[in-house]
Amino acid sequence: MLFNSLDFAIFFVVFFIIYWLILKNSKKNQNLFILFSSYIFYGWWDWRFLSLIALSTIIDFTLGQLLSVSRSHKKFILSLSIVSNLGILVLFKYFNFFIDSLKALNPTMFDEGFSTLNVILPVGISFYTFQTLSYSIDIYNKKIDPEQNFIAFAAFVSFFPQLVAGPIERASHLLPQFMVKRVFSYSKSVEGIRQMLWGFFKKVVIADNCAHFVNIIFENYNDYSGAVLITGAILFAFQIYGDFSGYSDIAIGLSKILGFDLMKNFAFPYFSRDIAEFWRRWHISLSTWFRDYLYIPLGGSRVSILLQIRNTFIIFIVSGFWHGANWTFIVWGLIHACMYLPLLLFKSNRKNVEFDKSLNLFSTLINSVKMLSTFCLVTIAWIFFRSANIAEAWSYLDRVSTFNENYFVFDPDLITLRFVFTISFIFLGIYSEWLSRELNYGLEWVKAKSNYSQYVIYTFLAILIFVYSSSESEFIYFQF
Amino acid sequence: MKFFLKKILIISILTGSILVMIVSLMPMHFNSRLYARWKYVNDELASIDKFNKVTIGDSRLMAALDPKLVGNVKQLCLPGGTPIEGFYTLSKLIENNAKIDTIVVSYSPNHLEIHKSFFEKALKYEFYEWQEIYEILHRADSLKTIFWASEYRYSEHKHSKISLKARLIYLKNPFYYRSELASSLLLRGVSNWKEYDRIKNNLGYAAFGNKTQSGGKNEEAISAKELFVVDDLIDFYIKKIFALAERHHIHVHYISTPMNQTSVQAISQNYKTSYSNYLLQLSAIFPSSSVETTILTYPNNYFGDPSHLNYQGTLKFSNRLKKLYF
Repeated sequence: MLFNSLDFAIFFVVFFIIYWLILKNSKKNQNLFILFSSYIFYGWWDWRFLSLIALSTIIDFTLGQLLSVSRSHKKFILSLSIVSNLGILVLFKYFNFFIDSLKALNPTMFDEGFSTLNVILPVGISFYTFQTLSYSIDIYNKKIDPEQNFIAFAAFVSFFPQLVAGPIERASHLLPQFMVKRVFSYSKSVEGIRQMLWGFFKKVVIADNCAHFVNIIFENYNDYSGAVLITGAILFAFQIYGDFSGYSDIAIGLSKILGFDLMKNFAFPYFSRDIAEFWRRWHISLSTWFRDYLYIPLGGSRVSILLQIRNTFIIFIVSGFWHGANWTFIVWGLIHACMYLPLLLFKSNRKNVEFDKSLNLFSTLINSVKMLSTFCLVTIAWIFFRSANIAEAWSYLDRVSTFNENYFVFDPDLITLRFVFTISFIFLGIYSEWLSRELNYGLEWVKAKSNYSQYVIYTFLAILIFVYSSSESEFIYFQF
Repeated sequence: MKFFLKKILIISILTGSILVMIVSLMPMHFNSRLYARWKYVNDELASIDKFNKVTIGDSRLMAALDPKLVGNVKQLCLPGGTPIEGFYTLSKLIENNAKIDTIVVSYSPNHLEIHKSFFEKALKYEFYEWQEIYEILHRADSLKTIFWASEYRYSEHKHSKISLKARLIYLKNPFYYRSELASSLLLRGVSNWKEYDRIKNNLGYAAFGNKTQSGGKNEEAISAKELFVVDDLIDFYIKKIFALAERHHIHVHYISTPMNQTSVQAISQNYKTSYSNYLLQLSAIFPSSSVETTILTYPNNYFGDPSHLNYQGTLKFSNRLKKLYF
């Protein structure tokens, strides 16, 4: 079920009524209802894959219990959890990629009759797999105790607001929230609705409009000039940001209405002044997951510089590979690793942690240049992320970097009213996020405005969302 | 919670009211230029004027005949229109006591086979009164035929859905106008009014394609059907046009607008024959009217797009009509 669909609107209204009006006095029944609704939410897409979530839930719940009682087989039990979770992920997401890559390397390696699996990638498998995996690892590391209530645990694994595209929650943060009584909070719910409104604006108005042009440009990149291809890459940068951060805002907002707090997943990443800062602001739940469960166990930054470089490359390549079974994602990760490397070598990767609050014109100018250059670097890497394969990405970049007399020729068919609107919406989005840059989400600045202004802004956004939601398009990160 | 729900309700009501107002009061500002062309016909039907010859048809005839080259004729063709709209155009003309003595009617074969524009154009562009919509839906129901598009086979079950959809569009439910609003954001007013003035000055003539030649395939050629099969509902209404005209002593010339060479070559011989047979049958039922029963072919350089004549083609075709019918 898509957040930007009529089905979901009806689903949520019914859910809200039952959850807050009928079951408000029973935490146990609320959890059971969350579980039931989450399975409907997920099963709406393909009910067959509910068995995968159920399997993952049962395995990790059981292994969690065993981890807490076992004294001598803890490592084995943890390995079992890792192998079963990653096994499901590899089978559905990476098996065909490995076989195809091995076949490309050595065509004689497999018999003629050996073929790849004919499976569909279950929506959001990478998200809930990582969430359950962190549960087992945290018990093993004695950071949390195993959950005794199966319903609460199953509701935590399948919690519908963040089930298919995150934020990837930690058991230590989200699971305890299922164990406390939830009381409807007016201020929290208003906050939630406001954040959802902003999320829908970014997804439906910015990302989906950008997608229209991005698809045309990337699918016919041989027909366009360098300037158009640069525009296509920039629009994709905003498409993927609007799409993914929009989903996160909707998920976080929805959870607030239900009485839950999810972790922040984006912190205005395009205002970053270097790549390290970008990764502290982009997909925070995934980057901190890799930091805690991969980078630190590998030694993190407390090892020699050579090992630090190795660790950095591992993290970025694995992060790229997490996104999809395609070399384009691996190269995307590799490019980010290369861009991060100078910061690591010069020990300036933690230089830009806070926003510069000074109003000094010179520092503002310097910061703007830094932000713009970081955005350019990130956008170049996005070309690999968006392209169907490496050859296409190179060819796209080659056309961008080859100057000729037609370089600045802009196809008049692209300059439509919709193009002008899209650019205007992007600027509106940037402006609103800039006003909120030290807050939690792009529309939070509105809180300080008068009631009248708030109604005007909300109504304006609601009209735009309504108008642009005629075509229900999936969120990009569903495929990951 | 009450306060929270109240706030949500206020924003929803505000949003809904503004959208309903925009959709109801500002159609010229968000619809495409086709709306201006339909509005022209709507306005003309509500006024009485000196013309006693009019054309009724679709965009192909609209682009094929320049009334200024012929004289004493006004175009009342509707882009995407079918004989269903054609019948109501004629009946409204008669209702308004217009002194019509001749009508030139033409529909492309594909507009006789399927009715794609009932919801997307005729209803959205305010062509019908509710009573007329009711009549059409009732007739479609009694004929149990394929209604507005081949993919939706008409049935009892669907009738209620179609009826509801028609009523919701008629009542300006903003849900049905989202794609138009999205692609315009109310910025089309100036260009639509210009288009309206242009078409009014040109007595209903409007160009579609502007190329100096077009060798593309038209819809009939693309669909590559083996046989021409008229839609039952459209057949019913085309016969009603002839019958109504006959009753009011109005002469009907049913003509064929030209197709380009590429399309004619691509259309199967069986299709051409079955189409001609249908027109021959019409001619036999209404002997007092003249019916052109064959597909007319013009070279590709007379076409501005695969379906519509460019102005060079319009000149040639207008002169042909002037000699034959005016």
